[in-house]
Amino acid sequence: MLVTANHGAALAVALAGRANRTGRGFGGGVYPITPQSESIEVLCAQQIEKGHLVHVESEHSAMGVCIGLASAGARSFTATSSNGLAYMVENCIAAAYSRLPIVMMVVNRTIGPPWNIWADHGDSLLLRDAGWIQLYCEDNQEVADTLLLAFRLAEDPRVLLPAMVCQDAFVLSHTVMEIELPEQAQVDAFLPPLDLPHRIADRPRTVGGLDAPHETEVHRKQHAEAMARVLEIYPEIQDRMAETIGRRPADPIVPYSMDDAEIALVSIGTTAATVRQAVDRARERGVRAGALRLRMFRPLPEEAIRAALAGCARVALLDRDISLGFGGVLWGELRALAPHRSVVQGYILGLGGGDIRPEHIESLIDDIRSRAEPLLRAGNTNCGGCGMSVALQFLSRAIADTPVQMAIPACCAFVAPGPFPFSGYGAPVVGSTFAATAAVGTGLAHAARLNREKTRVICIAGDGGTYDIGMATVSAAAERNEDLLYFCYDNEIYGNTGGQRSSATPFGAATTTTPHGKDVAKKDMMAIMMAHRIPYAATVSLAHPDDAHRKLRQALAMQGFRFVHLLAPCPTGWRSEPADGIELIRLAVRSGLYPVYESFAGDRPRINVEPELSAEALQRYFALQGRFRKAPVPLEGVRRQIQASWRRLRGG
Amino acid sequence: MEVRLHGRGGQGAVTGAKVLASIYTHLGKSVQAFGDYAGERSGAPVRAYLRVADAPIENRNKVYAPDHLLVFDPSLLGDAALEGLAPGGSLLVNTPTSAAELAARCPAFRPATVDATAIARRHRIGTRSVVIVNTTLAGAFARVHDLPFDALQRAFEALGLLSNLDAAREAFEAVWMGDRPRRIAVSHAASSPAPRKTVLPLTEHVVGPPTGLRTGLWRSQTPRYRSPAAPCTGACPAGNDVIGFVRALATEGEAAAAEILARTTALPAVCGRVCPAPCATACNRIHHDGAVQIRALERWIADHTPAAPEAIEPAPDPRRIAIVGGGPAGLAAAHALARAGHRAIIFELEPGLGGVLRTGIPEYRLPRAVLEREIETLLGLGVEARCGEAVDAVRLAELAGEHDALILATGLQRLRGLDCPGSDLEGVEQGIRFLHRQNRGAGAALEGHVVVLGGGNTAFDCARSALRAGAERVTIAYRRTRAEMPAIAAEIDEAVEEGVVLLFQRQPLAFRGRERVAAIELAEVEMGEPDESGRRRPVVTERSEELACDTVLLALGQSADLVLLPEGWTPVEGRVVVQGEPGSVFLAGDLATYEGTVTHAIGDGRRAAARALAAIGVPDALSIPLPDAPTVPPETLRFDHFPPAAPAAEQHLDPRARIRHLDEVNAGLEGPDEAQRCLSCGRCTLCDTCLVFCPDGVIQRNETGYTIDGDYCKGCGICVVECPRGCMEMTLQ
Repeated sequence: MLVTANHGAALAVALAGRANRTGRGFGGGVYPITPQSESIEVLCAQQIEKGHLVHVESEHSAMGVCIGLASAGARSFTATSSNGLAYMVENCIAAAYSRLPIVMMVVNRTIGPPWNIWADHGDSLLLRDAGWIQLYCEDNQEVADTLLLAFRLAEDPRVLLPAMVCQDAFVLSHTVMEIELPEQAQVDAFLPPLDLPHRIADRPRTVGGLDAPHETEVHRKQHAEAMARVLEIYPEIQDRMAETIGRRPADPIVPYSMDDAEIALVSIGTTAATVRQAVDRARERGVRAGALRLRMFRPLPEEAIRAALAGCARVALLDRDISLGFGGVLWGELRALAPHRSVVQGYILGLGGGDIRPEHIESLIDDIRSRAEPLLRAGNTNCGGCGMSVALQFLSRAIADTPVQMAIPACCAFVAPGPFPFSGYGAPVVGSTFAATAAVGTGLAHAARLNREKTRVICIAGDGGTYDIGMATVSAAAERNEDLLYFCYDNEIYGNTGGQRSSATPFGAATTTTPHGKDVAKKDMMAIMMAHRIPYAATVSLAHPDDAHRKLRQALAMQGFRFVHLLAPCPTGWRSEPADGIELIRLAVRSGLYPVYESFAGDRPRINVEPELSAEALQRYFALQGRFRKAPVPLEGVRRQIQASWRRLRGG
Repeated sequence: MEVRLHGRGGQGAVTGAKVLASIYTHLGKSVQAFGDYAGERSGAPVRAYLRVADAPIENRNKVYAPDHLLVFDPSLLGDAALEGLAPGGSLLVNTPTSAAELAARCPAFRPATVDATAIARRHRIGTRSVVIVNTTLAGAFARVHDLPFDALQRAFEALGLLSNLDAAREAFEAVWMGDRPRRIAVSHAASSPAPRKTVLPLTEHVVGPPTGLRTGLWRSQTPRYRSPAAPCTGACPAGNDVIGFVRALATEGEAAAAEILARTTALPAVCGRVCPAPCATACNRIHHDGAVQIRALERWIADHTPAAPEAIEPAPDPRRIAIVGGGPAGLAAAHALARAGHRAIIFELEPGLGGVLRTGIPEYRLPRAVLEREIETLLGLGVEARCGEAVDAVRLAELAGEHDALILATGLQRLRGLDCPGSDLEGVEQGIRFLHRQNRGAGAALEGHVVVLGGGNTAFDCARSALRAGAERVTIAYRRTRAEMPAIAAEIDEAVEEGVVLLFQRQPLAFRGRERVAAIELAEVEMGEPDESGRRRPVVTERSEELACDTVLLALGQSADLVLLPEGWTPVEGRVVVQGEPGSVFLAGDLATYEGTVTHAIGDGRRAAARALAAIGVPDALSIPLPDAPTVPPETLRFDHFPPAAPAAEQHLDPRARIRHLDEVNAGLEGPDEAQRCLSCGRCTLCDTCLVFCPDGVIQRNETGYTIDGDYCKGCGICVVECPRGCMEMTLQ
C-alpha cells in the first residue's frame, strides 16, 4: 500500500484499536496540528469496533481524554507535533507518573516562534525527562510497525508506561512510501487486550493522592525500574511480533558498517539514512566509517551503545536539536558512552528542517578525522611553556589521522610521556638509546614497508641526540635515504640532563658547562643535512604556524629521508619567561638569527619567511634570556655572523 | 635532626636543602643534603632531604621519619607529605593562610606558615609562572628553628645568593608561628608503607593510558579570557559603540552596523563627514600601519542603509520634555528621549532643524540632502519640531513650567570680536554671519582678496566658502603655528589644495581703509612658553607688515550667551539652579561643555537627556557607558599577527574644479573593506591563536569561545602573551 507515514500510522493505530474490542475499547482525544493532522483525519475515518475518538479543543485536553480512557482501562492514542506537544506537557507528565500506557505519535517539528513547520527533534526531546518511552523511526513502514510495538511495550504488565513514537515532519509524515500492514487477526494475536492492573473500577480509591518525600522517591525508583525493564523485554516483543506479524522490528540501536569502524556517526530519525549513504561513500575512499542509529532514546540503551562504539577511535554525535546553553542533546547524553580517550565531537545540523545531505555528513567525517588524538596528551611532564610541547602540538595537527610510529631517544621528549605503564603520547613510541634514534626508526620503517602498512615513522630527538651523539646515525640513515621523518627539536642544550652545552649551543650562551658563555659558534646542522641531498630538509618556526603546518604536512607525505629542524625555546634552560617562548622565536626569525627555509633534494634553499634583519629584534632576543646575561654578547659581531650566514644561504 | 622538603620542580627544593645545610655548616654542624630525582619537570612534586648532626653523618638513606617538614606548596600538603613526621615536629608551609588554620588541619605538629610565593614574586625571583621560593623559605626556616639570621647571611654569601637576602629577611620577619601542639597521642609514625602496585609485564604492555597527572596543580598563575573596551569606543565623544559598528560592518554588513549606530546617534551621516574622529586618533592600529578610517566607515554605513523607520515602544510613564535649540545637541537629546519612549518637543529659531549643521557647516562638506534625511528619520521617531519660534527668557520660564523638563541647547551664540582700530570698517565682518548668508543662499558674493582671521574649523569653512563665493584669493592669518591649529587636519590640507594661503604667527594690529577695509596690518608673533592649555603662548613682536585686502572675515571663536536665562537662574554643572534649588532645566551641548564639535554636542545631548530623565524620576532609561573606562593599550596587542595594510583613502573631487560649485568635496570610500582592518581590540574573534600555541593542547573551542582545562593547564602564559587582541590576561590564583 502506497501511503504517507501519517496515513499508515493511522491505519496501524486503527488495527491496534480494534484489537482491544474484546477488552475495554479504544479511544483518544484528537486535535489538529501541522504536520500531524492527516493522521487523525485518517484515523477518524476508520470504523473501529468499540472505539471512539473525541474531538477536543486543545492538545492539553487530547492527553486529558487519553488519561481518562487509560485510567478506565481503555487503549488510548493521540498524535501531535511541536507547540502542540509543548502545550500538552503537563498532561504528558501526569500520564507518565500515573503509569498509564498511552501511545502518542509525535511528528517531529521545530518549536516556534518564529513559526516553522519543518523537522527537528527539539519537540520530543523536550520531554526527555518526562518518563515516556521514546522511539524514533526512519521510514513509513517503521512508523506503522513501531506504533503497534509501542502499544505492546507500553501495556506490558512489567512496564506500564506511556510510549511516544516519533517520525520526522514531511520527510516521513507527508511522503508516500510502500508499506505492508498486517491483518486484524495478526494484530489481535500480537496485541492482547489491555489489562491495566490499576484501572479505575468499582472499588473506592484515590488516584494521585499526596505523596510524602519517601513515597515519591520510591515511586520514581519504580518508574525507573520499569524503564529499565523495557530494555529487558524488548527482544521478547520483537520475537513475538516476528511470529505474529511476520516482521521483526529493529533493535534499540541499529548499527551499519560498524564492525571494523574507526569512526562512528550516531544519529536518530531519518538523518540515519543519509548518514548511511555518506558512510558508503567514505568507505569507497578507504575511510573506515560506520553509522549507528539510535531508535530507542528512552530508556537509553547505554550498554548496547557502549558496546557498539567500543572499537571506535572517533565518535561523531549528530543532533537535529539544540539544548541552548549546552549543545546537542544526543552529544550530551552519549559522549560519556564513547570509548575512553576516543575523540568525541558533537555536530548540530538540520535545525528548523534544513535538509541534511550526504555531502554535509561527508564534510563532517572529514572534520572528525582531522581531530585526531593529540600526539602529546595533557598530563605530560614537560615544563610549562616548553617549546618542544608546542612543536608536538603542531606536529599533532599535521599528522591528523595519519598512522604514525615514533622513535625517541633518552631526552626530554622521552621523559615527557610519564612513567611506565602510562603514555603521554597519543601514538606508539619506541624509546631508543641516545644515539640510535635514526637506526631504530629505520627498523620501524622497514617493518612497515615489509607489511605494506601506511605507517609513517617519525624520529623525534633533541639537539644533543642529533648534533652530537646521534650524528653518525642520522648521517647514515640520510645517506641510505631511509623513509623517515627526522624531527629535531633544538633547544640548544642538553635539557634533560640539566642544561649542558651541546654543539647546537649558540656563541655566548651560558650553560652549566660553559658558565661564562660558549666561545664557539653553533654547528650548522641544516647545511650538513642538505649536503646529504636528502629529499626534504626544512627549518620550522613556532611563530609561523601556517608555514609550519604546511611544511610538516609536506614532510609527512614525502618518501625518503626528511629532516625538519625546529628551534625550541626552553624556558628552564634559556632562563626566560615561559610565556615569551613564541615571541623569542619570532624575534629570532625577525632578526635573521633563525632562517626559515626549505630545501628539496639539497637544492638551493627556498626562503619561506623573509627576515627583517632587525637590530631591535636581535637586541630583544638576547635581552629576554638569562643565558646571555652572564657574559654580554657583542651584538655587532652577531649581526655580522647573521649577515654572513644569509649570504651563504642565498648564495646556496 | 632530619628535615624533609616537599616542593615542585622549579621552586628550588633541592637547592633549598643545600642552602639550609650551608646555614648549619656555618653553625659548626655536620650536614647532609640531597634531592630525590625523577623524570618530571617544572612544577612536578619533588622531595629533598636535610640531615643535621653534631657528629659526622653516616646514614645514606632517604628520610622516612623526619623531625621537621618544609612544604613549598600548600597543594602538596597531603598524607604522603606528612608520612612519618614525628609528632610535635615543625611543619613550615609556604601558604598565605595562617598558622592557626594549619594547626586546625594538622593538630599533631608545630605549624608555621609564610607566603613565600608572594614575597619571592615581589622580589622577582624566578619567572612569573615559576616562582623560586627556596631562599625565601630559608629565611622563614631560620626563624622557626631559632637560627641566627647572621648565619643565614653568611651561607647566602658563600653560595652567591646575596641578591635573595632581602626576600629571606622579609620571610624571617613575616613567618607566622602557631602554638606548640597539644599533647595528643598520635598513631602516625607507625603507618606501614603503601602496598606496591602490581607491575604489568612488559609483554602485556600493549597500550599506555594517559598519565592522568594533574599538571594543573603545578600552576601558580591562571590565564583567563576578558573583553576590555576598545580605545576607539572609549574615545568617541558621542558615546557610539565604535568597535561594535565597525566589527558589525566587517562581519555582518551595513544593516547590522547601522542598527548599532542608531542606538546612540541620530546623525551618523553627519558625523561621518564632520567629526574630528578622536576614535581614529585613539585607534591602536596607528602603532602598526595607520589608524582605521572609522569616520569614513561611519559615513559608508549611513550612506548605504535605507532609512528604516523604527517602531518605538512608549515608556510606561512617558514624559514631555522641551528642547530649546535644534542643533546637534538638541537633536541628540530628542533622539535619545524618543528612543526611550518619551515625548521630545524641539523649539528652534530658524525655519529648519539642524542649527550649526544647517547654518554653519558649508554644503560642500555636508550636503543638505544628507542632513534632511537624518532629520526626517529623527522626526519619524515621533519627535515634534516647532521651527521659527523665538524663545526669550520669559518664554523659557513658561516652557520649563509646561514640560516635565527642559533641555537648553542653544550653542555658542556670542562671537568673539577684535578690539583694534578699524574693526568697524565695512568689509570686516564675523565669518559666522557670512557663512549663514551663504548657507541660506542669500547674497554672499565676494571678490578680490579675502583675509580670514583664526585657525579653527570656522576659519577654514570661511576661507573655502569665500573661494566658492567668488573671492580671487584667500589668506588665513593665524597667531600660532600649524601644529596648534584646532581645525581638523584634513580640512587644512583640503583648503591648501584649493589655493588658500596660510600665514602663521600673525596677529592683526589694525584694519586700514576709508569706509571699506583696504588693508590689514599684521604683526609677527613669536612662540613663547606653553600656557595652561599646553599650547605655546604667542608673543607679539615689533615687526609688522600691511596686507592689502577687500574683505576680512573674523573666525576667532565663540562663547556661550546665557542672556536667555531668566533672572535668578544659575547653571551649576549643567543644571540650572533656581534660588538654591536644582530645577528642571538642563544645559546641553556646547553651552554646557564648550567642546565645540558636533560629536561632543551629540554625546552631551544624550547625557543631558539622561540627566534630565534621572532628575524627574526615570533613572537608567538610557544606558550610557562610563567615560574613562580603561581601554586596551597597544602593548597588549600582538601586531605581528596582522599583515600590514595601508588605510583606505576617501575619494576627493579635483581641487581646481570643486571650488567652482558647492558639490561635496569628499566622495567617501569606494567600499567597506576598510572595516576589515579593524584589529578588534579586546574582542575575541575566535582566531584560535591561544589554541594553536598552547603547549599542552588544553584549550578547546566551545559554543561561544574557548575553555581552558584547569586540570592540566600549567599556567605558562603563552596564550596570554600571544593573544593578538588583548582578550586574555594572567591572574594570580
